[in-house]
Amino acid sequence: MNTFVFDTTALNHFAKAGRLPELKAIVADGRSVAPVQVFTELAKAVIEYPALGVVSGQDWLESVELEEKLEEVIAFAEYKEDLGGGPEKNNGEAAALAWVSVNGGIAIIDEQAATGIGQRDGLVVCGSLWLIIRGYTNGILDRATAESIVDDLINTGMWLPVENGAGLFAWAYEEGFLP
Amino acid sequence: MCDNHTMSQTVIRTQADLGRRIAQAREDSGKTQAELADLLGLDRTAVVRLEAGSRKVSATELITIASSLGRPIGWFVTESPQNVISRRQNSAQGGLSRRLDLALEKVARDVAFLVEQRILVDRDREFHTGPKTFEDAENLARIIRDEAGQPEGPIYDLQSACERLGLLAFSFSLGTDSDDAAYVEVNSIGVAVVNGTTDPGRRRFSLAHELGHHVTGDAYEPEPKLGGSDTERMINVFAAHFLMPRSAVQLTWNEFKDRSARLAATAVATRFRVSWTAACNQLRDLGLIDARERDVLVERELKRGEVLELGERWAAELEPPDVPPEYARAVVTGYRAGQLTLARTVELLHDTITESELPTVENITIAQLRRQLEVQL
Repeated sequence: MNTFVFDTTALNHFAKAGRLPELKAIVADGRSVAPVQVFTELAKAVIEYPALGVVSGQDWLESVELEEKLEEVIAFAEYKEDLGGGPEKNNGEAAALAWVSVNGGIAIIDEQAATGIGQRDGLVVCGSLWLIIRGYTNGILDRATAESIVDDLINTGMWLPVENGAGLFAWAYEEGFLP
Repeated sequence: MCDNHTMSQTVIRTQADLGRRIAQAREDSGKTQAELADLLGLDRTAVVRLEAGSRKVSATELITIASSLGRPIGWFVTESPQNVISRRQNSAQGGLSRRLDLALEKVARDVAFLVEQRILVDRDREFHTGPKTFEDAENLARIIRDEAGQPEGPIYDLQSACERLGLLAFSFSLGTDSDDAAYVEVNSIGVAVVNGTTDPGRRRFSLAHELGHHVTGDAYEPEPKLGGSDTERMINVFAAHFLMPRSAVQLTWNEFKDRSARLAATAVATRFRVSWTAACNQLRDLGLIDARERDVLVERELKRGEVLELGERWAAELEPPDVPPEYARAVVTGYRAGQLTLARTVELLHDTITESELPTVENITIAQLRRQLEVQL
């Protein structure tokens, strides 16, 4: 069974777009966790974006702290130094990478540098677009829904390498990632 | 004077190791266990147990510990690169080293990270023999000026000249009670931190001194005698000749000497951008004035008005915070290529830039997405 280890960004944008039910369905075949740092980052943003308030109540998303295993704390400190951000920023990415490096699983991160640093170390790091395509290829989402989620994410301010949902699916088809 | 000093190279293996690291950082910062407990929202007894390794430390707690004790978070778990090779002491004050050492250690960790990320390139370089005589030191200065591509005249933008020689020079405000500069080697890249609180002429001289350590490769001597006063003295002679080469100083001296020795010395200090004392010492060492004349000149400090009277501008270098230009270029390029986060980029540039002054980058690249989709899960 897969474990999906969420950083803040995907949860943030799926919540703002009102698409958490679809996200839940996409990862329903696995275990989903998010480090406590992610919940802290989302809680701080609730005042500005009330839609984020619902994330903490998602029963499918388990909160985890890096504390029990010393290797987790060591990995966190190393990733956190690489990613920077002082006491306030990039804690979610660092925690997701650290958790996956010790316990396995798929880090769900939408940030270029954190993705690159995780991949450097051989970790599986995927993002929101990967999740959406996965939902489609697993038969959870139909193509129109999948494309509209991408459009909604772009509308919530994600800067993605595609123009829109239709563009993503056209590209993925050309590249041979879709049946 | 410099002294030799070894930095910690701990890699933690147990909870007790982590506890010791936290205790060391706390003691270095002058905080009590009770003060750290307050910052963490814990009882003092919890901090006692945490430092003893009998209580676990969460990632969340470690973030607070690192930021409140002023250490990079990675410092608590991984070794820092190399030893401090040299530290140039603030002779007037006696010198405090903690702030300078912390700044240097942080920069050294950053440089090691950038090399690992291939954002900075670590090139092999050749070392020169350390000067044993005044003549050696002057010759070495000439050779290094040639290597820097500035054989003649005053060196303006010393920071760039050092960077061309593989020495990255940073300037930070470290206070009047800190030492002047320190040097460390990260693989073959030299890293110097200059105390930007000192005056501009002194900053340049301190950096030229560290350049002397850099080009002579003190790091590779089996038993470096860095506290050795002879070595330090010769490195200072090197620094003086590097900044104030004989023929160029002579030309300036000749231009003004008939008007007054003080004016000629003022011109040397101004054109070569060194402190008044350094200029007068070099005039003596070049035989243009004798020891008594040097003492008479130094006795009355150079006034800013005298520099204005000369009519030549002096643009201050190494104004803190300052990072080397090619280093800055590499960091921003790394950021643009998606290798560095926005926050890390600003940290690596030491607040010479703000987040809003950097261009935004995409959340993910098409190449990264392709790689993700290739992993069938």
